[in-house]
Amino acid sequence: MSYLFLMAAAAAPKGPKAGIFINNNNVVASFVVFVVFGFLSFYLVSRARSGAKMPTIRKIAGLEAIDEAIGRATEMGRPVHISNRTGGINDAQTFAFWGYLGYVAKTCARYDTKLINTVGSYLVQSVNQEIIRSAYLEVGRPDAYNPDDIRYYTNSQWAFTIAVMGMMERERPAANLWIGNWLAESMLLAEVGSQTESIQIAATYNILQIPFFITTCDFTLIGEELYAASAYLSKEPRLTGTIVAEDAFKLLLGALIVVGTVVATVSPKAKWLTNLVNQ
Amino acid sequence: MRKQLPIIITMVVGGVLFLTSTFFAAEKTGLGTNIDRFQQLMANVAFLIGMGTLFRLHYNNIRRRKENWVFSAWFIFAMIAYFILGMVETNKGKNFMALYNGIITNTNSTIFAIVAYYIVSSAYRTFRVRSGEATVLLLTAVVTMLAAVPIGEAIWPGFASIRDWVQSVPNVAATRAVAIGTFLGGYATLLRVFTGMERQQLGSR
Repeated sequence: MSYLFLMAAAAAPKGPKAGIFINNNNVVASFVVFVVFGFLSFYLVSRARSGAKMPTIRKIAGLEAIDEAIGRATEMGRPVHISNRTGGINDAQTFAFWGYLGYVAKTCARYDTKLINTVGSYLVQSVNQEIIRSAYLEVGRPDAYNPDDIRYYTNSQWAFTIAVMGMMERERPAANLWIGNWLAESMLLAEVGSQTESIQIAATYNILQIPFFITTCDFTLIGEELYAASAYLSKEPRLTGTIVAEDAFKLLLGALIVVGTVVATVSPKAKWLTNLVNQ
Repeated sequence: MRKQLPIIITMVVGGVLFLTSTFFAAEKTGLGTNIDRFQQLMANVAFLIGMGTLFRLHYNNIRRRKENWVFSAWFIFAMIAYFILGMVETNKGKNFMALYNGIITNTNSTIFAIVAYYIVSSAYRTFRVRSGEATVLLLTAVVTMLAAVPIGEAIWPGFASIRDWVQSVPNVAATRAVAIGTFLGGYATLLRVFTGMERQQLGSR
């Protein structure tokens, strides 16, 4: 009977932690991270707004190479191609992608270079159209904007891949930018780009695809570099503030890792730090 | 107002949804659950908008007799026919599934199989020893591959231990470093969007 009670107790839904938090591991620690990181960002963005000197972001070769790639395409009279397949309209990586898209569209409009955008989400396509149209308007070249160059192929992985591969063979873009989360199609797309002698720049946080991009692309932006683009390319101090906050927070995490290592080495049975993080 | 209103909506809805779904028990507030339902509803509306946009695009291609307009006609036919079939038979219907399994699954598998050929040509280019890093990559790849095949064990049983060490120590260390950076980068991006600093999605800064 007591066994049945125990079973029933185990199956019962867990109540919230401390009355308000979801009953998951690490939720309180995550909330602390959220508050501390938010505070750091707010403080550094405020400093940037007040005109305080902000640290400069180190040179990121892949982002520096975007201008070079567009310049090469202009000289060769071939298009520039930028793509993001998996990102939905609510993904952080899609917002990061839009930072690239705006910059690339403006530069292409300025140099009168054809820009092809292939996309795997019809909702993202609508936003992309708006971003590219605005970029052409801003540069004073609304006549050069062609909505047919913003192409939604499909959201099916392999159909999209084969469609983009065909486009690359037919239209031979001189530069390919693969931005966002890519899956197994990364190898096929980047390899075809390499065979069509394009300059290729990839930016992804997907650890499994990074090796494929490194082997086939000229430049690969890894992990957080993907997200740094809008701040890096716009050189806007407010946006730089959030990048500085990231670095400051990484130092804090590094310190926590060192403390954890020391505690685990000196006193392997002490669980207070693990328990604290698991709250 | 054209720019401010979307930012205010993003800030309020995004902030509430993030806090209720990530940290706070939704049943206490009910907000997260209701917004989730609203999101599902919007996703369905967005799906119809997407179909409409695609139809308009391809219809214009046909009307203006653009290059390859025949494919646009085929696309519209396939989209509408499959949509109607799905509505009549539901998504578990015999013909609906036969079309899916007979065409889409096989084509997908065929294209996925091409990856193997591209891996070979890519590996050839990568493994040319041009620098110190390329040499380390080559040696690691050779050891890892030898550890994965029986002939490797026949040559020297120690390959498996080296492979395990590479995969569980330096590989994991690098992976976690990238993961921490990615988390913070994504978080900072969302913070910029929620606070209206990042407004590229609205058409301009």
